[in-house]
Amino acid sequence: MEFDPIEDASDDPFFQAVVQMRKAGLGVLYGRWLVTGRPKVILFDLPTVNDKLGEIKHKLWEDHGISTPDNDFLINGVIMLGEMIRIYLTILTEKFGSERNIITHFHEWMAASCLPAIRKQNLKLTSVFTTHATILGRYLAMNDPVFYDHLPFFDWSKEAKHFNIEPTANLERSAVHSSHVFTTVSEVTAQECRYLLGREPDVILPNGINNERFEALHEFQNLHLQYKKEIHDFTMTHFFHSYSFDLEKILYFFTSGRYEYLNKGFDLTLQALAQLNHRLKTEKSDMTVVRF
Amino acid sequence: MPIILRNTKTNIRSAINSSIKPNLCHLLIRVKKYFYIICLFVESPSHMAEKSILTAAVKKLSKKEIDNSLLIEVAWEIVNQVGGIYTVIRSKSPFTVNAWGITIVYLVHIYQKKLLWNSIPSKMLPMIPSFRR
Repeated sequence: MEFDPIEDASDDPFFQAVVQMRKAGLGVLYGRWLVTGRPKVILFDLPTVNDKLGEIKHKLWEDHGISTPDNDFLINGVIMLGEMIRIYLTILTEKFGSERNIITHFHEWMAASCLPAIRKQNLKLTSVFTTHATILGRYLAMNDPVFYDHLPFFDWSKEAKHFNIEPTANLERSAVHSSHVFTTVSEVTAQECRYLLGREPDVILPNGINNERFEALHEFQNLHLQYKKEIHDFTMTHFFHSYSFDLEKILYFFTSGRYEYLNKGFDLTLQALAQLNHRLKTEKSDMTVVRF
Repeated sequence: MPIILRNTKTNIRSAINSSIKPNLCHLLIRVKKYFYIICLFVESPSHMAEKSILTAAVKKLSKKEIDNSLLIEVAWEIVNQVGGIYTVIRSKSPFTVNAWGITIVYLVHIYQKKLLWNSIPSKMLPMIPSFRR
């Protein structure tokens, strides 16, 4: 992550809370994230609460009934981040809670392990929790070819035990149930939330990516030509030993993302390609589709 | 079924009923065809019970209300540098910063040292306690 530190911003409420956390011996950096818009970020140095990890886990179990394993790198980090955020928000709400509205927006369970604790403390803030996908959904979809037909009939706690993801499923579920506003990103994930997490999302907010970054300017058009030539070269060396087709009448399709056959929809893509192939044949089209 | 869930639920209800600040401020902005949650404005504290109130109460915050708020966005994935959630947050950050100015901050973790060796200037390293050891 590209980061530019800020060290003098005494009138900034976020910075004041950072300074107070540092006084307690915790590692916190404040600065700007060097991407478009230059948003301010706070980096929490997790190993500085490593010595309190046992205590935090005990509280998590005692107050919220979530037991966590001893030596899971990710879960340890998630819990330490949660503790850091809890301390930070406690300081921030103590200082500014009465004069300003404090709003927190958590993405995914990994950010939100502190939500139950925050609600138990009754901090003066409001919280939004957004799931982009559910943990159980990820596991079940991988293992069940007709996942969405079976969805209403899954028993979440039994399945969580079965896949050995009880701690993470419990963390996610507790975050979902302790947020003020719960949102998700699509109608399909909303269904997963309904059946696997037990709370109807308050709002569905579809994700979008900003495609200004990918607009084709003059320079990009030149690069496009150059790269297309390279892809043509690859296509020729790969296919033309066996058979040939017209390079001018060719469409290149690409996929991106992890190659998880069922989870990421490659099964649907292949099905769609088969249908496309059938249509191209029946309509006697001279186009060729090459798919990466 | 962990006992916690039942407890948390009642906690939430009592917390909401006794909420010191019943006006939960959240704003939903629409930029071109994308929706970005920045906040939703909930007028009624009993929104858990009546979902329709929530959806009806979504409105834009005024400049003054935004200046008087502090928005904190948390995502583990920000340091990942790849992936869906990272891309979503990164590409919406210009709009969020545009709307919220100095009143927004992102919270991130330092956990995988390898990622940070190259990106943090060496003079900053002594400030991070876990690097000192």
